Amino acid sequence: MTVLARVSELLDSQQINLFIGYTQKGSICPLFLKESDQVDKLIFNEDCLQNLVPYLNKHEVQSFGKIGIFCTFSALRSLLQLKSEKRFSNLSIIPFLVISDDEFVEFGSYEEIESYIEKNFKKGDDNVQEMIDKINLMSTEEKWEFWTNELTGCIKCYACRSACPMCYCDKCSVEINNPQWVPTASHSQGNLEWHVMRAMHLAGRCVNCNECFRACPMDIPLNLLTSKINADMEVAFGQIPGTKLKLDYAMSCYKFDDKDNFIR
Amino acid sequence: MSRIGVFVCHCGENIGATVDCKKVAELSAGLHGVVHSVDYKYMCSDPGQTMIKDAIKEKKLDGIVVAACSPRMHEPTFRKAAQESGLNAFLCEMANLREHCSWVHLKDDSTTEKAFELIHMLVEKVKKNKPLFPIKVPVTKTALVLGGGIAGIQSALDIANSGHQVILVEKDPSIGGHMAQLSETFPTLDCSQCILTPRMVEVAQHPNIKLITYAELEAVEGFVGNFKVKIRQKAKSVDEKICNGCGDCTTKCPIKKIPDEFNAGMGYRAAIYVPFPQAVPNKPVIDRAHCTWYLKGGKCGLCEKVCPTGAINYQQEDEILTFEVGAIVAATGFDIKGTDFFPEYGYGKYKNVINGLQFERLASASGPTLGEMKRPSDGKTPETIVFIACAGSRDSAKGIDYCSKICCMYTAKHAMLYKHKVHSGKAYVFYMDIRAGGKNYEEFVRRAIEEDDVSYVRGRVSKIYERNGKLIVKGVDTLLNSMPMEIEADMVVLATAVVANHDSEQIAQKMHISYDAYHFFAEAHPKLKPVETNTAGIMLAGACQAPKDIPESVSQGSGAASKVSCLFSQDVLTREPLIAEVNRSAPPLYSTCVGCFLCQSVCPYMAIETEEIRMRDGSLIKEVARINPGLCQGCGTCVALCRSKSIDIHGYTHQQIFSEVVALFNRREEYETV
Amino acid sequence: MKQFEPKIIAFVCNWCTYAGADLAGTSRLKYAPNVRIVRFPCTGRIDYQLILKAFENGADGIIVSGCHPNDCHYTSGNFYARRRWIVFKSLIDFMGFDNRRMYFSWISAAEGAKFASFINEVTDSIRKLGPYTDYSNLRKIGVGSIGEEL
Repeated sequence: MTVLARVSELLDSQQINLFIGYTQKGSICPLFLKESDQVDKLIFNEDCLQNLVPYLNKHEVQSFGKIGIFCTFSALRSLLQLKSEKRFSNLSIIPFLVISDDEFVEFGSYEEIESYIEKNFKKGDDNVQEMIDKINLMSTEEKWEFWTNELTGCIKCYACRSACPMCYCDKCSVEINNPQWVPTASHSQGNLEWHVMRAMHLAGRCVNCNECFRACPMDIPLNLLTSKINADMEVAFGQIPGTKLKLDYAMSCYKFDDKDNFIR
Repeated sequence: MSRIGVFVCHCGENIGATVDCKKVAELSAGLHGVVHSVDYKYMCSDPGQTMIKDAIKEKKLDGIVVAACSPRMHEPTFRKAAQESGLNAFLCEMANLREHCSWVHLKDDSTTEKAFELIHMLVEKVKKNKPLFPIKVPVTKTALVLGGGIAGIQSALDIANSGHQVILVEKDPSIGGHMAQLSETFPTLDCSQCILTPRMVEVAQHPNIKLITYAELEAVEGFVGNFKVKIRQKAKSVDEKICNGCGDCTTKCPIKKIPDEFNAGMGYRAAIYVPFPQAVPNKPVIDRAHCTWYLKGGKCGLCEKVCPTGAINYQQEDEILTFEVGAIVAATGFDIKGTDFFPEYGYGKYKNVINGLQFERLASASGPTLGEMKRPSDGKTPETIVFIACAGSRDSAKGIDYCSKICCMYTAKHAMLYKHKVHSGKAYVFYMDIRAGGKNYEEFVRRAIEEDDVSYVRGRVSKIYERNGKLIVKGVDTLLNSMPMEIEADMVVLATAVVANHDSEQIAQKMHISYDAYHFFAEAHPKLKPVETNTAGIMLAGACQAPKDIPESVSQGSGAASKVSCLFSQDVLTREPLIAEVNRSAPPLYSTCVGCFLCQSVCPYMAIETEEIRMRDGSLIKEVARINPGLCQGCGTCVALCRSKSIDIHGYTHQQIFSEVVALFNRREEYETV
Repeated sequence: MKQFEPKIIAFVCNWCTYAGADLAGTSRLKYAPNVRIVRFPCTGRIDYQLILKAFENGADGIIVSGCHPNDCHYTSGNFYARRRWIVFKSLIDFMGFDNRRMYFSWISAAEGAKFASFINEVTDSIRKLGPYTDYSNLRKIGVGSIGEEL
């Protein structure tokens, strides 16, 4: 059975009320299917990189109740991480990992996702690691120069926030104005604080889907910040976000011997 | 618009001599929102407090900053004053001008500037303070006394006699502590056991005391009035209820050569043993580290065979007992350094160099020599004996800077006891100073010198070594032109330093109380709160706090008991409302909390619960976190963890701290223009 | 010319470092008057954004200090804080913040002397570094420089 036939079947039998996949309209973009009549518009190829999971956080989408969705590997991790953070309690989700037209994995439970991720775990993007390594080699001044230059371009459109599967707060703390934590003017300082805050919120939670970078209209490599600290955290604490169904959040646990050589 | 009052205290000269208090008060008057600013010699005095109260009423203040000493000292004083004049207590903040400024800096403009800045920070903070109301919690009127030495015994008896329940936990098989080991006590030379054992029996028979021996503290949870403690009852391997204390097992046990802790290693005991004849409870325990049955997989079993009541139970296991108590008295006692701590005195390898506790056992009628003066190596009566005071104490090279306090007195006592038993003997005491402050103490030392002819030599002993069966003690007499001295002694007694128990650090950590650099437990205030700790509901008694003699330990035991009784005289306690809370807001959000519950696992008190927000028809809107105000202790770890800043902590809110930090830097120009 | 005097802010916990600073006071130890202490119930309460706020408003140096591991009055607040510092430090080092201006320490209630010498040491080294302007200067850069609020 092809993946499209399976999606039609699920929609027709009302095992799902909505399917979220990709289509081509000039560029690749998401497609929301309520009925099977347009199933042939669904495509899947190596350019289908967008993490569709963030849509599952939207109340409008959640109102469908039973949803099928195309997932990349990192999207699967984000599903698992979100579930561990008590998301989707009244949602039934059928994720598909598509390999080719007639080769795909359909997941019946979160446990299946967990074991699939464990068996098929792959490190993040090599290009990302290469960039991180490059920045690591810079001097403090060069790093500062690099990031202030990059972040000066930020227009605070918050596309990074909207695209991120892990940003699901009802009210983002960047919008708190009493006190005004993050300066509202889009000068570099406000930009920098926003991105420090965003990265800290994703520490121990980022699944390296790189969606923030793809969403950024100013092409700021935001994914480097989150990827970098999560790589460091993996080394320091041995925890990898989006690999465990049970909550395994590195910032809410500790070891007696966490390294503290910088603490005097 | 705020109406803040600033009250700058001179604390006599303590602040006034270094900080220009008048100028600070003038500058503070210029701060935004400050409508009243004065300085005064002693704010904590009656006129000072009246000044504050009057100003609150007259100027209709809605917040005050008292710039004086540490809030850890006088915050309750000034909060009470505020409360009395109708201002909510939590609208009072203190700027720490004394401990954090005047005492640590020189008289200089920068010190005055700092004082003003500290005030400014707190003025900005107090503007954001909200009235708070104390939380009422019930009190469990049962006390836990930890340690069955004389301090713990006294404490337990006093609490029990005031009509409250006491659980007395002792780590050894018997209560009595170090006092039970002593021969005679200074300055009266009455027999230690004779005065102690009636108290021990009283504990055992008291209807309000539950005695648990051979047990250790496992964990403490909760807070004042509502602690939950776990006690590990170590397996005694003897069923106490059945055992009749006949002692057949201890006499038949084939393993008899175990160095006896009660006799400070000077004698031997069996693997199944009662520590001493007057032990309470007088029931044996099996020392599993030495018993053949445990070491050789079930062999021997002699004690089981001879026991007439069948009380031996080899399979008994450690048991965790849980109790709810309202207060805890820590009376875990002390230890003394062994002779092996002293390389210059032979690293403990000379048999005839012993420490003070070992001498107590030698001199005791119940000791291994039945009170006869016999030296350990060959049982001969020592004709020349040298006592060395300050062995380790007051010696920074040994890492012990403090005075062990009891050694001067017990060394004088030892020398006297020796002279009373060996009339022809010669006793020398090497000392640094004689510290005999205490009722009849100085007279006691004079008696040792004048009536019992003990030779006191002011000077230190540099080395001890053996030669022809004698101990050669090399020292100097600093009162005789630092003349080198060499004494051929038969025995040497080191008054080794009193130190904290080896596990006192872990015990403090279990109770969440502070301890000092030497691991003695820290009192809440060195002078005014010597019995309480910084953790409400936990008191200290005896030498776990610092070296103490018997009368002091007993006094503090009674002091701790009276603190506990005060606490138990109330049915409801009030607790500071400085706890965390999850925000609530208007629909459709209801709360900015999204219910990720990442905060749940950081809470050390498991105070974070799930709350369901429902429509009137019962349908679920969302699940959010809720902080149980009875359990929250106000650490604020959840506050800093929450991404959406949905949790805030009263007294240290986001707004308060933010204002405090920002104030510090935004004032530069202001300061210059004033 | 007058010597540059750095502004240093210390975020400390109430039970250990604040009490340690009190002990430095009662022991009359002398240290540089450049530090301003902000009291928190526990290091676990200290928000990394406050560090940014302090730099934003012109702090030249920052100290964060609390109870030694195992000494936390609340059992484990300092352990969570330590993890947060490890992660925060990894991030800001990567972003090129001047990490010589941020100090983390464990100072217990018994360590008045450590508090005093630590403050002196930090003040000396930050005095040598001069004023910290990298962060506050960011306000002048960017499309929104017209939006300078203050």
